[in-house]
Amino acid sequence: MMSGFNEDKDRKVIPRWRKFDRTKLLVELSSSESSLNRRRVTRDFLAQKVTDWRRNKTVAHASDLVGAAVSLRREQEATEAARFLLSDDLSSPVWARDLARRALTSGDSGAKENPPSEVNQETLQEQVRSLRRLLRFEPNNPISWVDLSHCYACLGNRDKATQSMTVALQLAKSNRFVIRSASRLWVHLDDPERAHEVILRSEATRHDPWLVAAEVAVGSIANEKPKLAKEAQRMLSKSQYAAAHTSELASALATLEFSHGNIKKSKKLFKMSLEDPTENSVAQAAWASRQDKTIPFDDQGLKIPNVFEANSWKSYLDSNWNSAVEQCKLWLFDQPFSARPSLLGSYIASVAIEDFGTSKWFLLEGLRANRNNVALLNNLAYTYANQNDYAEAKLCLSRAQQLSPSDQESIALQATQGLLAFRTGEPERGRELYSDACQRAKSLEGRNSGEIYALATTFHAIEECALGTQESRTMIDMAVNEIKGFADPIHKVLEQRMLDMVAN
Amino acid sequence: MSRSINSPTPAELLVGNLLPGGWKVEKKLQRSKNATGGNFSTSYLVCSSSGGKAFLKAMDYARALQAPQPSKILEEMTAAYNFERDLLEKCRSGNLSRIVRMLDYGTLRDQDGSPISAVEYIIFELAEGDIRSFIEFGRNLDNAWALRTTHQAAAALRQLHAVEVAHQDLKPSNVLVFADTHSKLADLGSAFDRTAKSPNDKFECAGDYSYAPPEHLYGHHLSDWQLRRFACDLYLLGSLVVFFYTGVSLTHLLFRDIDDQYHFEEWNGGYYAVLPYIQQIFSRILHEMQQSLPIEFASELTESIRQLCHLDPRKRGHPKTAIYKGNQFSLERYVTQFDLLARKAERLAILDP
Repeated sequence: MMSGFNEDKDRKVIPRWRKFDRTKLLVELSSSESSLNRRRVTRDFLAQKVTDWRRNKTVAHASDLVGAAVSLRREQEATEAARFLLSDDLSSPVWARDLARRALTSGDSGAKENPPSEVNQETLQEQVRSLRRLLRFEPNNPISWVDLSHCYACLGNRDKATQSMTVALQLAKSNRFVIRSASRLWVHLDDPERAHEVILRSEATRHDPWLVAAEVAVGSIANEKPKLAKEAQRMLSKSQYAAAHTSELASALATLEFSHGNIKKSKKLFKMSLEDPTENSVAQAAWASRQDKTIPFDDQGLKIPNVFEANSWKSYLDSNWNSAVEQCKLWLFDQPFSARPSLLGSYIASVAIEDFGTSKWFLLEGLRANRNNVALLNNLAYTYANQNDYAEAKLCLSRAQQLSPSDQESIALQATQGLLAFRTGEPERGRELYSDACQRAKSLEGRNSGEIYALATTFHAIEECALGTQESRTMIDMAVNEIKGFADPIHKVLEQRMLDMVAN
Repeated sequence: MSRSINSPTPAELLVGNLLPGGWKVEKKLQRSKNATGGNFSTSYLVCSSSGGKAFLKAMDYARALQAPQPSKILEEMTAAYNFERDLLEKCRSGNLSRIVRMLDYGTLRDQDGSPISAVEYIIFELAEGDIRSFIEFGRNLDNAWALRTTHQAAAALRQLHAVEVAHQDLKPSNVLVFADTHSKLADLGSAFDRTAKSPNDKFECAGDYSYAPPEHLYGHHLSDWQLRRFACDLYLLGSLVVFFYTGVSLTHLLFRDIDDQYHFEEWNGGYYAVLPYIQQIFSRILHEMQQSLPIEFASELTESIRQLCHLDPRKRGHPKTAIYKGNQFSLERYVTQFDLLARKAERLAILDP
């Protein structure tokens, strides 16, 4: 039985963690202080350089003018000198030529906001080598240490990821990018307490809405009462920050109120969070709306860059499976260390459209960074079984069982074992395993137990039906009866599949 | 008598005049109008009675009167003139051999005796030009010359620092080349003198913005005057090395690569909040530059740039000097180091075919 159906049950607006080159293009790292602090160059240094250039017409005079124009963002005053530097018959230094090209292409913003690209093992290893070279040369560069940690996290090397991030924190313990990345790493490594501590320890946190937002969100995961919730409310009420800088702050508080059942307050805060939202705030508001239909969510929010998670769920709810798979891929490229896009992507690929090749791709990608994730291993076992690769499926199950699975995970593993038994010619044993899994699901505490039971029953019924056993008709009737009570679009797919099997 | 805006001013009509010190004004070189915020001046070639050539800078107060805020500009101009003249006198009397020498100064009055027609001037020793006119880049770069010039610039800064003066505007156009290929540092107009009131004291960034250290561009105020002033000179010295090997200043390169929201004109926060992002760019530039520097000097030059241009002014300078001598901005080690590198380059040049 596939896991992934309950990945949407809980969500906090914990900081996103992207490589610096992508993060720097977002509002996330821009200064949140008042624009009154802005500095303007009032003295004119270019006039003399223009005069000198016109008088002398040498490479050095041209590069002096072009360099100054680029650094002062007045490129239009240096176009003639820039063209001169790029003349074929001149041996201008490469650096000066590069500046000249920048001067002539200023205003072109084509490189920004490209979708994230695929990261595979080779590209990650090459990035590690490149960052290690750079850091050996310049070890006091906190941003590169964070990027190195990111690569290691994506490669599943938890120790190196931790060590690299620790160095980054030593070098820049008050930097927003470093702190938010560190907190995300430790949440990823199932150490939310440490993530929370990193945020609280920084002197910068109390004055930075992005870090206060992270504290409120991560504190909730660490099962600690957020210590800066009042500070967060004060920051929001004073309107001292632009809406973009308080989007995640409002979202974190909204989620806190939502978890306390204060829906009215929560609605107001989610609305605030969407005034000039980050992708993470959009995903959070969309999630809240899926949990409680009275919380409004406008699809306009899905049009900002990088909204892959929210778009994955949107396509899922619309039963637009191919689009959902594509969005999950982009979500995975965007957050390649996270297991969630792989879980959802593999669930949709294997259950909704029975594309087991794609499902396997998602799972192998997810397992690279999360090799001990029971749900991913379970789904891979299910996928292998459907590809008739029973030996690999058994290996996955065996690995997962050694990882102390939770009750819910254990039920899924048992059901997948049942499926494997059916497929390997042991229907009796399969039946036993499925029945046991269903019984355990029934006695499971929590709001998911009914759904787990329905799904286990469904997957069992499908196996019986596929084998044409005597029990298949009764099993299908029972399963259809169980699963039709749920509005989830994949449940509807499964219901229809069972009805089709009976009809054929 | 009214004068039209386009009419020449007394400071622009000096050719042919005989000055009180016996200098004859031979040729007008350049009129620099409002080049650096209110600095109206005209330059000339002058000749002494013995035939020696020199350079004259004439303050153009009449032109300044045509500016939008004439009284303010006049006040700034006279303060700047007096400061530079006194500082040059200090350098002359202190035998600061690496600073371009002031040969004379004075006031030329027109026959009508009007205060508007008075022209104050300073006469400097005449250079062949600044290093921009001589440099050839890339494979054609004369390493020995580049490193010797860097050594002489470091020595010039050391001389200034010894009398508690910071130059604050070391850049290629202010490094003048003389007939014997020696170079000297010119333009003390942006300097800071601890022993005198300077019109530049009010500026965090007194010199050319496109060369300035980033902490000045981000308006980061350092209460310690040495950190504020000497640290700037160290950065500019490192940036001069960058210029020889790239054709542009380090500041040009840092802000070439920075995204708009972190640019000093956009950033609203403090300097240390943006520092890691600039540091990231600096690391990449330095790493890339090391690959392109001549192999014989690459590691030492890279290390010097790294220390001299450290983006945190509190950490700028030679680490051993900082620890053992207590004066982290001392230039002693750099003067020695660039001298040794220049000698090495001079010897290697002999071996060239």
